[in-house]
Amino acid sequence: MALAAPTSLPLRLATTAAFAIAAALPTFAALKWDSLEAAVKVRAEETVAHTRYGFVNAGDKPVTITNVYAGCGCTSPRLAKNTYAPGERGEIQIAFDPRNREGLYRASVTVTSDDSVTTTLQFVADIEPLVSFDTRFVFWRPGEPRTPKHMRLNFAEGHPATIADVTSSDPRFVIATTPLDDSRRAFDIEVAPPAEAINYTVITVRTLVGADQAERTFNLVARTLPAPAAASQAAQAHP
Amino acid sequence: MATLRRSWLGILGLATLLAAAALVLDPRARALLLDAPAADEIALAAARTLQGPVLWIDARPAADFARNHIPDALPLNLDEWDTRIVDVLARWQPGTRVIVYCDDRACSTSRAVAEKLRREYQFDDVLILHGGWSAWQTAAGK
Repeated sequence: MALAAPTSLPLRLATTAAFAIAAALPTFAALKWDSLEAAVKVRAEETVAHTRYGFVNAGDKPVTITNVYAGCGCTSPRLAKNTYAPGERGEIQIAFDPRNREGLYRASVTVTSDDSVTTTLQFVADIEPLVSFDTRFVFWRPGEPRTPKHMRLNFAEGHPATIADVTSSDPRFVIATTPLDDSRRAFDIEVAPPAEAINYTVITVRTLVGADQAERTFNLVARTLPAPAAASQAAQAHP
Repeated sequence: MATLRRSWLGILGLATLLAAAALVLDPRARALLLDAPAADEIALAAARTLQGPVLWIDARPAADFARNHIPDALPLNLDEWDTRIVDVLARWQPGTRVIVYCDDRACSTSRAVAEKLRREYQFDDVLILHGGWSAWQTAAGK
């Protein structure tokens, strides 16, 4: 990997100084935010998390919020109304969908108002994992013996969870699911591929989690790889 | 007037000193200011010279991908993971280098997608395009 071409340090410093000056100057934004950052902890069973960003119109004219842009489909911002009188308080409510995420996840919401000010609100979610796999993908190379391969599922401790069923989109791949201990928190998913050349199967693991037995599904993939000639057509050369 | 000019010069000097200190002392600020790719990132110019197959992954929202994307890229974002990952796995081959991008340097989705590919799919050669889609557009003169 090559680093980017070095550029003039004085030029960088001057640019940075300009930004610093801009940041140091008194801002004339009418909307004053309680905080530009929010953090939320998402429990494993939660399918949505909420937070809010409060603000007040500290100017002497009404301000209209013209756009609220979420940089991620996981973040749904909601604004009760768009125009705020001087001194009036408001808030942007954020609903966050943690699906397919775990650990620390950062998202941002950009707010634009009619006084030509754009504000970026930062959002950090700490998402507790519910289900983990050692891998969600197994494959067989050309010529490799078609012996079964395994994927392991683990449910996080402290949350009611169970496997409802495991199905394969191509029944020629044979699936066997076995609990690895009496607690039924860990499962082995064995995949036996067919002898003939078939591309792949999608294995759907349907789980029931939480006290309300909410359904969550996870897709795993098992694939028999084509011979190199066919493979070279599949993977695209870089532009 | 002279007082005002002196104030401005004072602010300018102070800001320059702060910027220089940030540049020298804070590695994150240094990376930001010097625009150097992180260890798991690759600059567009370097990506263009790679030998062997490359699989581009577009981690932006589906609507942005539909508007435009890097040629031959596949869409894969965390919101539609289970439906999109199958196409990625169907195209991937051992030895394929995967490069993930999202909007720009401020966007963290490409890193989350890259980490998920490494952790859950055992992809061992996944990089993030430094500067993301913005870098691609800049290089294209848009």
